[in-house]
Amino acid sequence: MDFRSIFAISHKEILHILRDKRTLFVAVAMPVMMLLLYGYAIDMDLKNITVGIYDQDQSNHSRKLLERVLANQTFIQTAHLTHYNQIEQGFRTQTFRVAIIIPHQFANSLAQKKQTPIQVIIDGSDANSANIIMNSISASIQSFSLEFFQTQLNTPNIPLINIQSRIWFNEELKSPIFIVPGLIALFLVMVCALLTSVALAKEKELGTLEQLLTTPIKAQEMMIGKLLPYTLIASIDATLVLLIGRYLFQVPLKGSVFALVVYSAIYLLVALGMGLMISVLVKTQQLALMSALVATLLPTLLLSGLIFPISSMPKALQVISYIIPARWYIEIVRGVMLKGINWFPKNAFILFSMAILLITMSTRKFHQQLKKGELTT
Amino acid sequence: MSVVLQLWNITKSFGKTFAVKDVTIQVHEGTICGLIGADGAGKSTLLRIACGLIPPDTGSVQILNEELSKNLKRARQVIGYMPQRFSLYQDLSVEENIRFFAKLFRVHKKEREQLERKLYHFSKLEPFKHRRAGDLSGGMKQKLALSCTLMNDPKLLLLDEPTYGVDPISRQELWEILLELKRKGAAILVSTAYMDEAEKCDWIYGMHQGKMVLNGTKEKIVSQFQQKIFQVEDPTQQFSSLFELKKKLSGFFEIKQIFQFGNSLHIMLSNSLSENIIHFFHQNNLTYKEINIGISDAFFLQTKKQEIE
Repeated sequence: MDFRSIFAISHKEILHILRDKRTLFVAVAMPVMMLLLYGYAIDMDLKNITVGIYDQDQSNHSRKLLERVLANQTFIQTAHLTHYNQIEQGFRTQTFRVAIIIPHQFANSLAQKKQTPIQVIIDGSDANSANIIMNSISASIQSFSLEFFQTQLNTPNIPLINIQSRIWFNEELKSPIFIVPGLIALFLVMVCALLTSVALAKEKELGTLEQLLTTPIKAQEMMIGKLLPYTLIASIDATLVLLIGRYLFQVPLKGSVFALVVYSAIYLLVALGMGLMISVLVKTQQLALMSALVATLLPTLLLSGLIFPISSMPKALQVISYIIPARWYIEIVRGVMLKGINWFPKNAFILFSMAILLITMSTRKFHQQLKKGELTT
Repeated sequence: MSVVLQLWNITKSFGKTFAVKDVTIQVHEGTICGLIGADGAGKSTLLRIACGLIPPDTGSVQILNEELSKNLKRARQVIGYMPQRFSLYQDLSVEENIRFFAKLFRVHKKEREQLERKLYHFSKLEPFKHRRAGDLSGGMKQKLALSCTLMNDPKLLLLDEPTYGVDPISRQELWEILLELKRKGAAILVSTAYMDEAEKCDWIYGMHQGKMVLNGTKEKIVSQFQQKIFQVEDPTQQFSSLFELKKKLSGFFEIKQIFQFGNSLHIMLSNSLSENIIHFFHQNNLTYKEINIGISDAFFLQTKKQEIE
């Protein structure tokens, strides 16, 4: 191993990157821009849900109930209905996504201590939020009815089972706190794999590899020399993305920064290894780009637990998720940032093994191609 | 004069087609060997085998009497290989390209500065040293590529059609560089499609369909052919094309071979011109003269012979 050769290759690679402003832009700005976009766009919090209200009772009680529902700003009233026909029309024109109908005899029925129905209609075209809306409204109504019950009995302290649920590590159930660590994992693997996959494929496509191979340089020296500059860029990306997550999206950092840096470095190695592998296997830049995208984007988005919990996937997909590096890294990032756990020996070991495997396999494959003379155009 | 490159019975096939078949070549120190042949004759493959980029199926490559496959690293220090396709970095400047290769060949700074001066001197690239390689003209690109392969002061130069796509003046300049290198003792194996370049070589190898069909000095090759050759031209354009004329001429049984050469035809006869033919020439205002057999004539004759066999 000769360091001068490694540095010669790295120096040349840096010149390529600096000359090619587009690549530089993709390398540095893309992950930042994507994090901003995704971070704000993938927002599963419920805010400003529009509600149409048809209060046929117009009583003190009915008004109190509605106040309770509208109290926490999840819902805003956008329509005051006076007829049933207006409900369907409202859904069609999207004036509201929820309709609450309080029947005529609401107050009377309550006074007579009878079972008193009210109607809630929810737009089910977005099933996920329909569910959450349903839960939220039932919770308000339940609390209203409990209070009513207590005042009726004139005993405010009757022993009822009272669920006091608390959610840990993300108390307000804000989705950025959940999503951003996953996005960090996604963009790092994507950008690193994209950049490195092109690095060698480009030399193959342009024929410069042929000239390079007649110099005394060794395969390992060339590989390392090519990886170094991209490792640097990837580290810059990682830092930027983590800073944005921490300060813009207010993702807490409860664990140690050092631990996060070490784990991220291992994860970057895996990503670089993936890029290298693709680079060795394909012959053109375009194919390299496509392969890197296919290998990183969808698997990471869908199978790593970034959005969908792994435990609720079918068994077969759960097995596949074992080979997705982001699966192991996301656990680490969420653990370190949200829970303050710094010790992930299993995940770190798996990631490290992946990196070693990918880099040695691609170097070996490159060596074989070299020996068989398959690298000439 | 010691042998620098020795190829013994090299055979290489890609799938079912033979690219190179049983070829033996020697290149001595201080000589230029020309490798001629049509596109697809196997010249590039042979050169790639000689510099260790492709391993041969059978046969052996020796560089300075050492087996190439066993001493690849040491061999690379003494070989300069220039591929047919421009293989430098287009987005790097002339100087950056040269320095990059200097580093890979582990040339020390002092030595490098000396070499750079020398290379700039004969390539005349100094005024362009900050220009990107991609912005150079064809001839300058080739001179830059040659400069980069000379960075390790190679004892053996393997050049794959270095003058391909280069203007006549740059072609001349490139050859002057090669002749200068030869005087300094380099062994050079150069493939070319230009026959006038072949004639500048000390030794000529001709390849046809992967096989070696010519081998020798220019004089030796030419002397093997006893035929008389006449150059025939049609200045008054009596015939619509040379092809028409060729068809007419092939009717004469004394004419053994006819080749087209630019604007003229070369005809080969078993003995001297018969009255019949001379009459035909006069009748159609054709000019003719006897010429010495050249390398190209010899090459064509030899490939024809090969095909008949």
